[in-house]
Amino acid sequence: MNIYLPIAEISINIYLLLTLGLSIGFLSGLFGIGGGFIASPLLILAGIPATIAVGTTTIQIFASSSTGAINHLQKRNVDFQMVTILIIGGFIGTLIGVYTLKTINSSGLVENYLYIFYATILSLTAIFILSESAKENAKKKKGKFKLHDHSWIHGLPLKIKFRKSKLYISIFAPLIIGFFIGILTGFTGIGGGFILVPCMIYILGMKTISVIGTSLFNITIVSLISVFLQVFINHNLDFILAIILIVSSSLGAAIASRFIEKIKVDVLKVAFGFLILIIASLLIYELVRTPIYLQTIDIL
Amino acid sequence: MKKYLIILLFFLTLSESSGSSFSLDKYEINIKTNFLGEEIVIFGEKSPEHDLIIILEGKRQAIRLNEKIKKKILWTNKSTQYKNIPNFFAIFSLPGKSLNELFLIKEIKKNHPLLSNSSQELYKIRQSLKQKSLYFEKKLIKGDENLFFSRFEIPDNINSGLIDIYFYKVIDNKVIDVDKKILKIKKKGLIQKIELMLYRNSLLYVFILVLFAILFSLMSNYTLRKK
Repeated sequence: MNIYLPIAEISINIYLLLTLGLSIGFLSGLFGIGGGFIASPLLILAGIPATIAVGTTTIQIFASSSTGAINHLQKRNVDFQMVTILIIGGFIGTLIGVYTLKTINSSGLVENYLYIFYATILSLTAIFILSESAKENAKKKKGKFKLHDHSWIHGLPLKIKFRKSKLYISIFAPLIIGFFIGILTGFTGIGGGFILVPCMIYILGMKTISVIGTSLFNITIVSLISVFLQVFINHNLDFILAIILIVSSSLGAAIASRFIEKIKVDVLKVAFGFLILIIASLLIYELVRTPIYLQTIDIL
Repeated sequence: MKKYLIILLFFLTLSESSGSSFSLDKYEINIKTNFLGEEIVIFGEKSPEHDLIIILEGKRQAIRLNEKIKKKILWTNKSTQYKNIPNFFAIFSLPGKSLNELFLIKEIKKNHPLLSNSSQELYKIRQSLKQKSLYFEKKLIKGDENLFFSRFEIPDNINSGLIDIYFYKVIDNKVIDVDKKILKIKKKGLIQKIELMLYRNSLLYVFILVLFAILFSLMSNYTLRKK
């Protein structure tokens, strides 16, 4: 059964979209992520135009992160000082990301850039996760564990106290991180949780208990800003596709919550690393395989 | 069934008259949520003295032609923009004519930019439109006596707007008469409302989606998740 998507202006099999949404929701529920970095490339591979896939994924990220953010807000696990600075950086970054998408889209090179960007960032993340898992296992065996190292970021000026996280660091550190996450969200539709969380733990040195809440709250607000900007600037958020994604990914995440306790965390991390590696490989294959058509047309 | 009754009635009316004329089984296509494209029947009567060329031309728009170019191991796009290119184009002829034969007819070359010359650029554009089922060339099927018909598909990726239908009577590569009709492609119902809301009331568009996202994810979280 096909359904016509009014903004993408194509009809697509509804069961394919529901399966994609369920899988994205299931994986995001299982691995505790927003799922944007899986959703955008998979939607493009399924035939949704790249800009529509990026725009529509932002509302799916908002839906999947908002519930978690509300839960953590109720449990007072959000560092508001930190999140305010992250959001300021995120807002500027998102604005730049959305305009970059608009510019690259008008040059007709959006798929090239997105594929290369996704493939690079997913490959790097997969390598990081798999190597970190291997390191953690080795450290656990040796009995040593150090949360973070002091790096150049701790030498930045304008230091303030973050009472909730018990940190004394420069406001530029979260501002820069928020800025780059914002660019990611605006340009690629990725929420950035899978990068933000390691940055908060390993670079800023935040405590794990407030990391998840602060990260989810930041992703919720930045994705909401991105939804507004995508609709007002790029007009690339498809209503029907969004509804299908929200419904199916929420159900997928709920199903995953019933499986999550049965799987060991170490196994989850490694599986997550390999999953990202598979998606990155598919995107790299798309870039190197001989295309079916040597010419395509976009009606502007 | 309905469309064949219309065609039969048309043919009965034609038998009373003389000369050439044509019709479609419908002049309006509505794009709704279940739109998968639509089949249209074109039919009419042809006088034996002349040839027939029917051209369907959609709205002329700017287009971007993306050519895949291999740079080392990666395939990348090289994009070029063109103006005044129809978003849908179909050619029917009786007897069947090749593009090279159509290029010999000055009026057709002048009226239709996509057939204005035999350049490589226009060839690539025609091929790219063809891949999206937005361009085709067909020979009209000759029926009994002087009647003709053909079926074609308006694809699901068609843009809404008007499609001009030109009916050319041609003798010795010269157009002796032209008739013009219009096929309307309209977005209707929910599809039309969604599109209008996105462009005219973006704030409401975002508000509905955000509200739905919050409510549905909260609902599924509280009802379906394992506590």
